[in-house]
Amino acid sequence: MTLAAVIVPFLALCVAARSIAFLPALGIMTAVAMLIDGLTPLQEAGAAFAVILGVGPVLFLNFYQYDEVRERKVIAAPFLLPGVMILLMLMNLYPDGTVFPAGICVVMAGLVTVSVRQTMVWQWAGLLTCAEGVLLSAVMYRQVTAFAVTALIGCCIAILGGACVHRVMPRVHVVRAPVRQERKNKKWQRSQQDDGDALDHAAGAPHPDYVPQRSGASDRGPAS
Amino acid sequence: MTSFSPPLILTWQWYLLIVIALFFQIILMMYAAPYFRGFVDLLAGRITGQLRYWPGGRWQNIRHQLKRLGIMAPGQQVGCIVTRVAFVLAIAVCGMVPVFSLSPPGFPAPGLLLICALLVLVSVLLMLPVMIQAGQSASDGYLSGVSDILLLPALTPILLMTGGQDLSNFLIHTRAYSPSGEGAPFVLAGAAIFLGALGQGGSVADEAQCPLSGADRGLWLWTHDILQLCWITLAGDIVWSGVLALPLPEEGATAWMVNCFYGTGGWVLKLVCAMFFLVLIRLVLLSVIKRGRVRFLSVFLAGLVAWQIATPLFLPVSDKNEKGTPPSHKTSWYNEEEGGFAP
Repeated sequence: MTLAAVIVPFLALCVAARSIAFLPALGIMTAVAMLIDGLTPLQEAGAAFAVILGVGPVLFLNFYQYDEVRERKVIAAPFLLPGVMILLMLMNLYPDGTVFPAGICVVMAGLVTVSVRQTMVWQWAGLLTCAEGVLLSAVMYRQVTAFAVTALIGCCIAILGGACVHRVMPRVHVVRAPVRQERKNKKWQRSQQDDGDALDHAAGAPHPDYVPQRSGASDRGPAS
Repeated sequence: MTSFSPPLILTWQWYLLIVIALFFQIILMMYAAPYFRGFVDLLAGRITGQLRYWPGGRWQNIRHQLKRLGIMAPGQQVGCIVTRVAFVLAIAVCGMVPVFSLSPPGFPAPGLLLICALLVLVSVLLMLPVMIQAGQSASDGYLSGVSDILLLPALTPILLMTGGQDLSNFLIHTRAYSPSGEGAPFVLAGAAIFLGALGQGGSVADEAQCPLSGADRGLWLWTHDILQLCWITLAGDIVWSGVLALPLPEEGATAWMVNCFYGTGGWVLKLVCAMFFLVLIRLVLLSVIKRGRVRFLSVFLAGLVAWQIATPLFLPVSDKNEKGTPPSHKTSWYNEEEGGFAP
């Protein structure tokens, strides 16, 4: 049991309570929790999949507009989830001692997210959270088959969810204002063509090298 | 739950040394508290783009208030008395929270429940002058007071985890575990106490509503700073107790003093980390009621999970040996057979 494994369920709770924005942190922390125990190929592959499933969807969503309007306010979700997690830990406390069921807690958080939240993106986040949790459990208990199946399913969820997002949500286009761009180009061309002196004369300002002469200073001479 | 309190006869030299260390600790905490608050304000101002004074400005403000003549607002005699009582209690708490050294078993030390109760009592006493005013500020004061009192029930899981033993004994037990490994539940417990301490700083709105003036106002501000520092030091102790010095009979007094020096460095490091977390949390904008709700929920949840995870660590050592996991801590750090130790 490490600190990373303890933090992972809390990040899953943040995904359920707040938004998908915590998913990258969840993925990275899951990878850390896997890698701390050792560096076997299973753990490395699990960490790689955890990071891909956590970071990839959020990067992909950056290209789409996100509207939270349809989401109904559910106050119970953040309260429901801790109850489930604590019940789970109570059940798992004494049988074999120190193993903290981080992966199962993350799966529970994902299931609660899927069942409580309505928005498509949030449900997608819930499914991905479930996948992260099962990956973590599979790596912690060294189950290669479970890991392979979960990685496959996780990739399917990511791709299908991405396809749904692409179909439904409007894309973000960064558009430069064309008029302003032309004006900027013209101004630049004019500044290249015109002489600096001509501009200064037009504005009525003196030349930067102009030094005002002291009138009458030489007539007076030193005081005697 | 095992507790470590071997019967130990402390020699009078050790008593004297520890009392001097406690005195030094109180002075250090009282002097550092306004600076800590000033640094937090400065950093928060930097991040939010506001102009703030340099960190010593807080201390200057307090000194200025202490020198000023006070104007007694009608009905505020109680407020003056209560502020002074709160200040004295805050000084007492400064001596109870381990800063750089643990007190050895046998030396009178308080439990976590007593420390938390005293801290909550001080914050309620500090809110009394605001409560006995008329108008809107009174209701705001009541709200703060109620949220302070509710902190104690929210901390119940951590108090249960600590049990009835002294805080020093508990920390002697936990210092065998590394914070990033086996000691993870204690990091959670410390985080819960830290989250509970968020409301204890005395916000700008509270300061504006405080009707006191003169020396009483100075004491009021100072006590708020001490209170915040005490909470954060307590959280830091529980998160990482390995850095605190522990008097050992075989090493003697000199090694203990060097460890105290390292402990002070660790304390400063913890304060710097806490400062960054405090500033980051200030960036989260929530309404007062919602912030309180989130705060209590997170304190309770973190404490409960910490208690759950830490329970196997408190199981008797013999059970663990049967299961094959090696126990990483000794049952006693002291020469019980020799009946004590001398510096």
